[in-house]
Amino acid sequence: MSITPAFDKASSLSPLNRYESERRSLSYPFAAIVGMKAAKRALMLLAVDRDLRGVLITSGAGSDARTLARSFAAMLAQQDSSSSGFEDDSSRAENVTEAAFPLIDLPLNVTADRLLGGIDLERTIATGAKHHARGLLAEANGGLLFAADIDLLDASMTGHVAAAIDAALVRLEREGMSATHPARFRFVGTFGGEEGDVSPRLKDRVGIIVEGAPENSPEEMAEAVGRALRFEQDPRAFVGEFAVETAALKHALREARGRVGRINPTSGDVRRIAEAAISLGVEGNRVDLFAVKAARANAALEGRDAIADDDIIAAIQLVLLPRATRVPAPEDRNEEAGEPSSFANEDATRDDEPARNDEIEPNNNLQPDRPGAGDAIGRANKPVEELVIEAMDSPAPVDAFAPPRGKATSGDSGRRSHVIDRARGRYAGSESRRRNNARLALDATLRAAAPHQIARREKQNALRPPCVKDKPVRITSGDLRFKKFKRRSGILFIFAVDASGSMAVNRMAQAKGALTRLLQQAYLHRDKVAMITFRRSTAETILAPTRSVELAKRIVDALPTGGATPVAAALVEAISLSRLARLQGVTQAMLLLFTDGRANVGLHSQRPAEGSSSGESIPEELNRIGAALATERITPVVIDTRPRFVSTGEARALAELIRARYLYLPRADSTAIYEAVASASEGMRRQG
Amino acid sequence: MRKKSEQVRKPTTSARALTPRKRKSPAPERRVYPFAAIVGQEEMKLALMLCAIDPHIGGVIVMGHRGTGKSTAVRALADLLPPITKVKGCSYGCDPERASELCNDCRDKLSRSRRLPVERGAVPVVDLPLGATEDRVCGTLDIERALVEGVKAFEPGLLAAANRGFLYIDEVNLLDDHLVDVLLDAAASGRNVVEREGISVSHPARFVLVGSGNPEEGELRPQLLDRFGLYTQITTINDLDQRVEIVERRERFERDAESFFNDIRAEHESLRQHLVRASKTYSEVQIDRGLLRRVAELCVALQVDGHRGELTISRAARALAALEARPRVTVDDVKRVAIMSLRHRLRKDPLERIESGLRIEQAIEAVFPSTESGGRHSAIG
Repeated sequence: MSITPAFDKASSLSPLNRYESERRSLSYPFAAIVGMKAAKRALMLLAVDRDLRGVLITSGAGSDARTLARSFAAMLAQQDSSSSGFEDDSSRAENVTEAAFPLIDLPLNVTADRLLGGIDLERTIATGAKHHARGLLAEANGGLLFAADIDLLDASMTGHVAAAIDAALVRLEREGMSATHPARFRFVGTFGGEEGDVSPRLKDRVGIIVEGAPENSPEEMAEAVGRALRFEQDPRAFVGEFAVETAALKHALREARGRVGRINPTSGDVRRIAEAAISLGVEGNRVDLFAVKAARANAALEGRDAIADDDIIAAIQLVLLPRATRVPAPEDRNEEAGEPSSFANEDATRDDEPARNDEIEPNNNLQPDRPGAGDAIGRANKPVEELVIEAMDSPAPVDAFAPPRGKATSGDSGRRSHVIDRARGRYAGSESRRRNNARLALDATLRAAAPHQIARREKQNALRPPCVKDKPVRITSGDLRFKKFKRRSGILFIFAVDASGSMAVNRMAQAKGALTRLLQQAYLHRDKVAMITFRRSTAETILAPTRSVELAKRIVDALPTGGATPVAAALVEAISLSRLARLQGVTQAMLLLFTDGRANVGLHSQRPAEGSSSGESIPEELNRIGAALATERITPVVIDTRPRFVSTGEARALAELIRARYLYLPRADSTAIYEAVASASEGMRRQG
Repeated sequence: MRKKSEQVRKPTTSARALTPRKRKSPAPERRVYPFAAIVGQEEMKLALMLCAIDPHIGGVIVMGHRGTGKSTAVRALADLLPPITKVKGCSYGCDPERASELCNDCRDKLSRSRRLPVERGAVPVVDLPLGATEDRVCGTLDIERALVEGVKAFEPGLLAAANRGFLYIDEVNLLDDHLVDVLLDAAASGRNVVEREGISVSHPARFVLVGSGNPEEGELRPQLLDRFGLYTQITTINDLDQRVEIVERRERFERDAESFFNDIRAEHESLRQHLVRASKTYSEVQIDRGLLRRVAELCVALQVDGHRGELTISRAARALAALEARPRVTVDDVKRVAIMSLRHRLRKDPLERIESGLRIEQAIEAVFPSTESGGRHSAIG
């Protein structure tokens, strides 16, 4: 195969097209991208089966996801315009003339008329017949639509994109125009993950959601930087350097496309995927279809003729896990303990991790096609639970940006790193120490390397045989600098409601009202809410941290009430909740304690007013837990809503004991409480 | 580079050939996934069929999880319905049998020639995309004719196209407010009145409103909610066998739509026959005064405002009886349609979800104790 296949056809194309194909052939080769295995795999699957519709890649600030997506688009463009008629395209025949493969880059400031199409005023007036200009969605038909930072795109535009992906059509009913255009394209979008969330509609319409964070070793990072610089210096030479890999990749893709139609998922395959979807609480049945297609495409890419366990694992990782709303039961138990000891264990696992990635495969990091090799491996039909667990444990890419989860779940990144995920938020300076998932700060790295260049060049020139080209910049792993991120994270509001005593019903209603009000703002601030009730001797989480109004509204108002008041138990429960929330990236928590303050059950005592078995009195115990709240960065607020004439000051005393703010809101309704809470949280937000 | 432009298909069917135009075929005609092949989601399917039998029920709103077959079902319904007789060449697809509901053009034509030319055509199911502009929804000045002929002609919009059929709005809870207003007006009066750009037109616009959406993405305006006769909820199917079945059917359909359709043709046809028969007979289905009283009791017990609750229940129950070929409405019919007829009409506690199915069930149990009715019947024999 020639270096740039598009040139084969170029001779027959117009000068403009020739320019176009040359430009495309010179984009950074897909095969040369270091790391990001999961994202690359996801894109390859999309390349194999268009019915996967799209891939969403989380990118975070300055990640390589854009480069990745662009080189993918360029590769696909070459492949699809140079090989003819491998896809079923009836629509293509009529709409895509020449061998052009439409590659549409969606700008963030796109307007509805440009996106959907609209009246072509100029031509309409000139000719007297209505003409309309096709929009970008229609222009992308048969090709690829790429949108960087799609979370920043206007919500209604995102909606149009989602609708077009879903229907493979654009329905235009605007400005006196009525038309329908085919819009069957592959969609690749990147999003920041934290700046704002992608519309759930779009997430639902694309097959694959994947983390674009490079989980690279320092050596790999250095390699990546080196390649980027080499490409910048001489793109043509660089593309040539990777011609073999590129050709191999294209060959693999072609093979897989031929094969994918022949792979029939068996009932057993479908059943195991559906089972996995159910066990992960995946919403919507459309997702199952995507998972089956992903498994099939993966099998095709691996050169198999039937779906194997590995393919199902890939489908779980790329399609199901990012949409999981719960994890299978055994994992839960592990988490519930929430003890530091379990974190230590997880740290150990984490430390092993980079070792596995350490070997660099400079040129071939995708291992695209070894026909037959995969056949023997993994067709063992393991039980579904095992597959799910395997999918979660392998060093894969799944991230915790999914909707509310019951417990601290998430695939791998969330569970393993009890420190804050550094790879998100705003780029705010750099450091030489590499933390989990840290991303390379190119600017700082170059600055660090600069003073050593002369010395290194001299040293290297002495060793270098004359035929080898000089590298423009020499970077060693010591130069690497990593980005520090400042993250805008929300607050977890923990409502702890005292369900003892006669006023419990009122408190419950007030708390629920305030909670719902808070949730309406939650999206804006990325806050979460949780609710704990306590009575007799225990505290119970009745709403795990969530952002969903739907879930919150399902809380029952009328809970059993009466009995003693185990304030301590509630505080402990709140601490464990906030620890779990921290795994999901919530760094601050506010505890709203709705109580009359009559704490009369200790942590370990069964009978009221007896103190704990360890001999600690209840106030002592509360005082100790109060200190723990502070170390856990939980801001406690005691909310007292008893009318003044029955209030005995116990709530105020409790607040002092646990170093909490005391809010006295007699006969307050939920709105008043919400406002008080909102203003109390303002300060926290400013700090964060 | 020049923008690619192309000419647009006119929605009007008037035979004007001002400029020779090569009509590009729109989307390639694809077979839609058949209604009879939809797995599960019985409440939604029943609600859609009831509205097809008696359009006066006032439409369906389907709310629930994404990716659960809402749009699939609506598109499939259109494909299931038998063709109707229309006045030939009429932009509004007027019914030649109903002189009182004719549009002005047809009325003129009728007075001139005494007979209207007719044709058979599919029941229109019109998609209202979220990006639609108001002028396309209501209809507006025909720019082309204004430019070329200098005449002020009306170019009918989506409401015209939906006359006698269905108007489907996906993500109805995200629809712009001004479009909601337009819809509410038309849905209430059965006519679309256009007063804009020097045009003054009023034309019939009787359609069944079908909406779908995900409640997690936004609330629906109460006035709009009230317009819908039936409210059905839909959730992800969590039965493993059904889930497998869904994927397998869909895969087969995508591989070879034609042969998939042939496999299900018998069911499809029988369903269509049931619908045809039901829409002929539903007006003869009897409902006892006694039963009506108890329906009213139910609505009183649930403190439903107005009479739309009773009306919807009795209409839906009649349609159900007709669908299952019973000459009179049974207690069971009422019980089966009560929840979907009332779910969105209960007085709302601001903190309570619309999910009031349980409350309704309890009220039903109180008014119609379960001892007196027989077992449940399946939707179709």
